[in-house]
Amino acid sequence: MTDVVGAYHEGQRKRVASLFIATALTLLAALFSMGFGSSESLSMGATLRLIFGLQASEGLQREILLNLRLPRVLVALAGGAALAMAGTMMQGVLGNPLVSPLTLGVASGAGLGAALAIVLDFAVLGQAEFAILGNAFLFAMVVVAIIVKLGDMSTVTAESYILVGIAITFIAGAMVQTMQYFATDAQISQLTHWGFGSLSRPSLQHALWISLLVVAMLPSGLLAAWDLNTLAVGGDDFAAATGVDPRSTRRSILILSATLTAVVISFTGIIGFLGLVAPHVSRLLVGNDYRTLLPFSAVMGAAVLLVADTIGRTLFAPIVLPVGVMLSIIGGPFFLYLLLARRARA
Amino acid sequence: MSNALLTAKGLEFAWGQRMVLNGVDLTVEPGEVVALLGRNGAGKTTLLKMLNGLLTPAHGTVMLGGRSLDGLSLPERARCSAYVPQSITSAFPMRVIDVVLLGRRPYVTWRLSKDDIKIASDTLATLGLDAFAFRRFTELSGGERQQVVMAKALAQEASLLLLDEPTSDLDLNNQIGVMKRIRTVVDSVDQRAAVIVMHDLNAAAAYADRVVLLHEGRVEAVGRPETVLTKSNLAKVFMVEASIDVSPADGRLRIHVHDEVKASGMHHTKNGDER
Repeated sequence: MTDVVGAYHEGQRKRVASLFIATALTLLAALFSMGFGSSESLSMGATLRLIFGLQASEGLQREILLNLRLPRVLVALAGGAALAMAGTMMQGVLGNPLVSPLTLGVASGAGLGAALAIVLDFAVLGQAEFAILGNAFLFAMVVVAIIVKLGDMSTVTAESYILVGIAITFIAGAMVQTMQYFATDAQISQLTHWGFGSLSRPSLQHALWISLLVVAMLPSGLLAAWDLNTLAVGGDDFAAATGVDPRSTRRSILILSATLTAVVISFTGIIGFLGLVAPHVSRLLVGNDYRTLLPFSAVMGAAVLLVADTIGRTLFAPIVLPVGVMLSIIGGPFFLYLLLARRARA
Repeated sequence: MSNALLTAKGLEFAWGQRMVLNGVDLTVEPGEVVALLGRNGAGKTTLLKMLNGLLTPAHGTVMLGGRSLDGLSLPERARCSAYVPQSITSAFPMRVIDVVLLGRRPYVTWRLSKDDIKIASDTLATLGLDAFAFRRFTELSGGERQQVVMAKALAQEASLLLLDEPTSDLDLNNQIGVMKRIRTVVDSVDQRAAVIVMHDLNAAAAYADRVVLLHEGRVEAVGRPETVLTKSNLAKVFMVEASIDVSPADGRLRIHVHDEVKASGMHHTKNGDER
């Protein structure tokens, strides 16, 4: 008889170890990325000493680190973790591996908000630089409110959420296109830039806010790991017969995921591919048990966004390529490779 | 007051205008294997789901272990009764052991104890599935997947097992194996019982203590296999001509179906899909 218990524990130890290793590597990469840039490259030790004021800054070194690179790296880590976890959770509760954080239409809502601010100069709260950000966030949250409302309906299924998300995407898209049709060249350019997705925008203060919100929200996702497992394996009846309420789980997980997405993309613009790729790469690497899959995909999302952004801002320095574009260029082929390699083995 | 595991009274249910169950009563005693028989669309699966609270009856009550199903939380229900659906498709390739461990969900919040893993491992062994433990659930055949879900149901340590056609995807050898194991699983633990939706009349006769014959939303007959599986009942419910005798080899009821009943106009029952 196989020693199932022993083999299981061995497997768990390996998964936890790989989670720790991945976390450590990501943090090292973050430190490296902070020291690495177009102005001057610093060693990791020097970077740390400069941040904590243990080493005298030569010229603008400390300014650049604290005000330019630290926010970028923080947003990469927190935003990447948030989008990846949102994608992983949404795939589970909707029982569909094609789902990403953009599926529910949150990003389209944010895009509509941004367009209203840029083209029509319409801002719900705040003016000037805060108008676009505030609008994007509020309109993304309107989509979250629609999800909440939808969750109250007794007949709602996983498919209904996806279909409503697609409808929202089309409606918001059409409204943005209408505005573009009447917009000036400058406005269209600004709107296009917003859509690219970039980590240059958030200030240090914004970056700290994003990190704080994400860190506050992620644990409730982790606590739902078992419920996610039951829904992902067998769907609604299976979950209910296992003691998990499928409808309330789906509703609360979707609200959490959509809010995480809204927080991140209203600051960064649309970062699409990450929330699909990071979950799948994580599934391939550590399997589908959400207890390890969720934290691992958070780390994976953080790492991928960080690496993509670091390459994007250094490859053709001083030109900074938008991270959304870099993600698709680097992540796409890598993702395909993993999938095909797996198929070849199977 | 009996110490029945499950008592259902006056269950009624309709899908839209179509009445599926119309006043069904059912009692399950500890130690029993109850076979639920009937034609497609007779309401067998609907009834099974109602016994587990997956569907709520329009009228009637279900009592589980002396308590009303409505008064039990989902985890409490899952600790009392476990349901194995007819088929299960999964979008994500979980390992078999992880699927079985889900049976411990009603008992744990996050961390599994050593006992939980032991229980999962033991149920796999009980069903002869230990070799599958680390294979991917999605790569198994339909019949194997259903066996894994049955292991998960056993890991729930529930007293009542509700099984929807557990042998439908299996070859002959495995059909017998599974029915025997269900019998063993029920007999080996005190206070356990199983309700099984099935189509194989001979298997029902061989392994069930009681048979419930559903017909057009009502219980047509209920009782020991030899009293329920009669020529006239089979003609009425299944519209088949059958001969029934007792096998000299093992003393079991033997049902041999010859043909459809030739009465004109009786062939076409309402052809509802079974849910």
